[in-house]
Amino acid sequence: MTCTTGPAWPPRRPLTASERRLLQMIDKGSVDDLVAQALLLAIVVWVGSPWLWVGWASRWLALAGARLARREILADRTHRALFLLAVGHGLAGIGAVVSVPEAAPLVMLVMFGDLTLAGYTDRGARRGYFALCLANAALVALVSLGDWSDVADLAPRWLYVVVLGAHGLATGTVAARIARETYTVLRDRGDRLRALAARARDADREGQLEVARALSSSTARDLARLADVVAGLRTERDAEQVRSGAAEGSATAKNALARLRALSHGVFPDVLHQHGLGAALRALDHTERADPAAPGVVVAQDAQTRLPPDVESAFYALVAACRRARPGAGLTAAIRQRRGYAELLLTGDGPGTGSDGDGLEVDDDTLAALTDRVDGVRGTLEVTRTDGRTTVHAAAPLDVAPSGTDADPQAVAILTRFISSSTLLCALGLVATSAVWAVTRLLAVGIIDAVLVVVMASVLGAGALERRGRRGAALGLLCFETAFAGIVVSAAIPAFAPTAALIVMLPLILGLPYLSRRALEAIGVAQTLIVVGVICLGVAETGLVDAALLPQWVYLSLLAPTVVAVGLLVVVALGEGRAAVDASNEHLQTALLDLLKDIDATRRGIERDLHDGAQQHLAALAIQLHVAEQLAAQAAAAGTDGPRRGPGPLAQQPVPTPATGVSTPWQRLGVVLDRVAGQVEQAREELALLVDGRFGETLREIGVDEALRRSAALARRPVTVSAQGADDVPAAAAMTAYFVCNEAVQNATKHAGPEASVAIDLRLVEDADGPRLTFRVSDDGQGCDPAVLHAGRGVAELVRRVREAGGDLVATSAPGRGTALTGWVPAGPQVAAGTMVG
Amino acid sequence: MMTRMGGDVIKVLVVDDHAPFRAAVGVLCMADGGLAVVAEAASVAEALEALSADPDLVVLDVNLGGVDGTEGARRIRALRPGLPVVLCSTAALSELPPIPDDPGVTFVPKQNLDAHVLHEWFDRCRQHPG
Repeated sequence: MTCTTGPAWPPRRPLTASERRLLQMIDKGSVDDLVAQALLLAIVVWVGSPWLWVGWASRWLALAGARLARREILADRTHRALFLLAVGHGLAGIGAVVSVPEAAPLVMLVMFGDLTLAGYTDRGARRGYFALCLANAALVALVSLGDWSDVADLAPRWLYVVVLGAHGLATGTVAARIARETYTVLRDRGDRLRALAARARDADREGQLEVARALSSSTARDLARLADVVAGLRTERDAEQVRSGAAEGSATAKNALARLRALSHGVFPDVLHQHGLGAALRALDHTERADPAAPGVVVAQDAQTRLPPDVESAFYALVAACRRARPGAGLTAAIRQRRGYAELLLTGDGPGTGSDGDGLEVDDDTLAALTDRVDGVRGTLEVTRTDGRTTVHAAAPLDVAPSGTDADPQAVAILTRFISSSTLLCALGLVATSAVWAVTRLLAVGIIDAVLVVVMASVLGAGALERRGRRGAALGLLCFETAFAGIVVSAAIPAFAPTAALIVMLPLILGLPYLSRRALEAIGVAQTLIVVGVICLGVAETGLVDAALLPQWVYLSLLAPTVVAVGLLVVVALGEGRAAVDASNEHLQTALLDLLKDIDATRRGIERDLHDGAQQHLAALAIQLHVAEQLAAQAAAAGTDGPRRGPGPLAQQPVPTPATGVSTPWQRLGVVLDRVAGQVEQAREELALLVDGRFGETLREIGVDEALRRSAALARRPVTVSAQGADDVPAAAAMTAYFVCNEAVQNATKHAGPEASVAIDLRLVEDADGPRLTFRVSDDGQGCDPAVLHAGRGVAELVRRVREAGGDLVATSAPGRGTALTGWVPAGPQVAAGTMVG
Repeated sequence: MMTRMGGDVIKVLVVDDHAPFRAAVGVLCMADGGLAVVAEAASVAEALEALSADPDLVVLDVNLGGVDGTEGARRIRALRPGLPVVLCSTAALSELPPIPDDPGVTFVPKQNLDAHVLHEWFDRCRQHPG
């Protein structure tokens, strides 16, 4: 094979969006840390305690970890980067707490941030990473109990409050930002998949309409013209006229065939399916090149093995689009398989027609569409320019199917599980503290006991709200609960401030899969302020309870299990939140792949239909009209002009062959023209059926209910589809119901409000008038005034469409009561599709 | 009408899974008089059976379901080395699998098929066998 020159092959994998965000966070964090180190240095010098030097020095470990992590990310080892970050933070945290135990709540916040970073790891690496972060948190909490230093007495208390409070605010903001970024990373993929699916569907719908339009305007018109020509020939008596007419007809058929072939090729290149990407690209060279002398597509393929059909299709679309953008320029396409990836490297062959380019310029819109296409098969697309040479590099996994299960995203209910595990922890805590209180009769333990009762009541209340579907209220109550517990516990026993800080940030994680970005930000700000309060209370040590009152073992026996329990709660909540979004994304990815497969299958089906139908007819017509032309020429030469139709319809006579006897050229001409006329009519009918029926037939094959479920999986609102007997209805009825239900879901998505869910119910009913397919699309959204509903064009258009199909449609709505569209279409076998062509 | 020097009619086997094309070849042969369709087949398997009709020329579609026409041409030529084969398709050569490099096999776009082409290929194969 010929190998392409240019950039290194394969080019380095580009950083993902989340890796770029992680880098940004590390860079910004490093700057913040350096500023903080400078400020701390001033304090350390002023206070002059050796313990503070320990703390100051240990912070450099965090910075070193961050720098190393940065290098690892750039070297495509993000997992190791995260571990390095966690190790650096852990060591620095312990150093900080050893030197100033009051800083423990603050350090705990950093640990929280580390846990949240798990959003960047994949499932395999998550467990070890969590264990490391959890161990860090537990160590920090325990170290904070030790009586390491008496630095606290060296500086005025207000200084600690100010410095640690300010630092807490900054760290809390970072933690909230990390949570938000994690959220964005997770959600972006889902949003992108939804957008991809919507665009793919729109593009396909447009494409199909375009094909239908092209068939109606070009092939159908060509056939109509052929019908006219043949009708004219059959009444013609002059042999010379017949000859020229037949020649014209034959040329018309050939031209029509050429146009139709180009059209079919655009619908789906059959060669791609039959012989693979390499062959299709070589063929593309011939079909797309107007000037045969122009440079073409050079294809270098290191193996003839086939790629997955989805990948071939995506790569083909990529090259075809680049080719269309600059038809005159040469391209080199290299196809390779390595390390589980299929790769396509596309380079321009030197200067193109323009002054600026090498033949590989695509505009931004095309590039966006192509990125979509490659993204749809989980691939990446990168365009680089070096030395005026453009390289397009696409890579897609050979195993296109997502590795995940078909888990229903709704099955992982993070909030429900959090509430039940919190209830259990509260109950255990209540028993433990009550027992300790019974033995010691200490006020502090009594306060914790009382706090736990309030917490338990809140958690149970949140559970009740969640069960009623009021997720926002449940989360609100949990916010209150964590804030209350954090403040009161830290005020009572400052030693619990680190744990309290961890607890206070929990709602941020809990809200991840459910809340909008804005709500998440609001919670982030509120909880950060509360954490600062908790820190200040911890630092001020103006605890309601004098620390000396409590023996050390009480602290240890309560604090260590609490930290581990709360840490686990964070881990579980985070793991499940991530799993929920992952499952939802995988669900979307599967749905998207199915959609792309369906689109390709439909397009290939249309291509096959055109190839097997109209193309064959046109080729046969070209041959036979040429025969007619030759026969007419013979008749003219023999001078046998005269009535060219004998008595009786010639079409019904046996075809004269040498065996059945010789006939005159005129007689044969009659037979040929009768056949041609019949075939033109047949071709016209088949084309009309194809244009009308193709989409309906595809729909019928998968079943209208199944098709609706597939589009429901990609909708922005929860959509449930229930169906009875709807999988076997005539294509026309299925097509109308599918179209109307989909439009209704679109309308609900736009107008019913963010909380709404949509239900579709399809039923095949049998009554006196024969079978009917009834459908009802209802939402529980905000509804609207019926007058408004009917004023819009959307509903009127749907009603018109259903009535055209012989059914009816009624739309009902009222403010606060949702909207419902109820309708039916006849589903008897006698329902024939209308005609669009001719 | 083409009249052959020897006066014999060339017996044609048409292989295509599309009836309109088989019918068109029938018309073409009927109009010519020097050609006659002796057997029709819709697949390579049927074509191999139809060889018992002892055709003088095979008109073979490339895009057949199952075994495609290029492979079919190889099999037919293996069984009847002297039998000329005309492969045809509505697709361009560039979109098709490679046509066998065999002096008895040629390719003609379907829409350009006519009696002249068939006679010419038959005569050429007769004059330069193998």
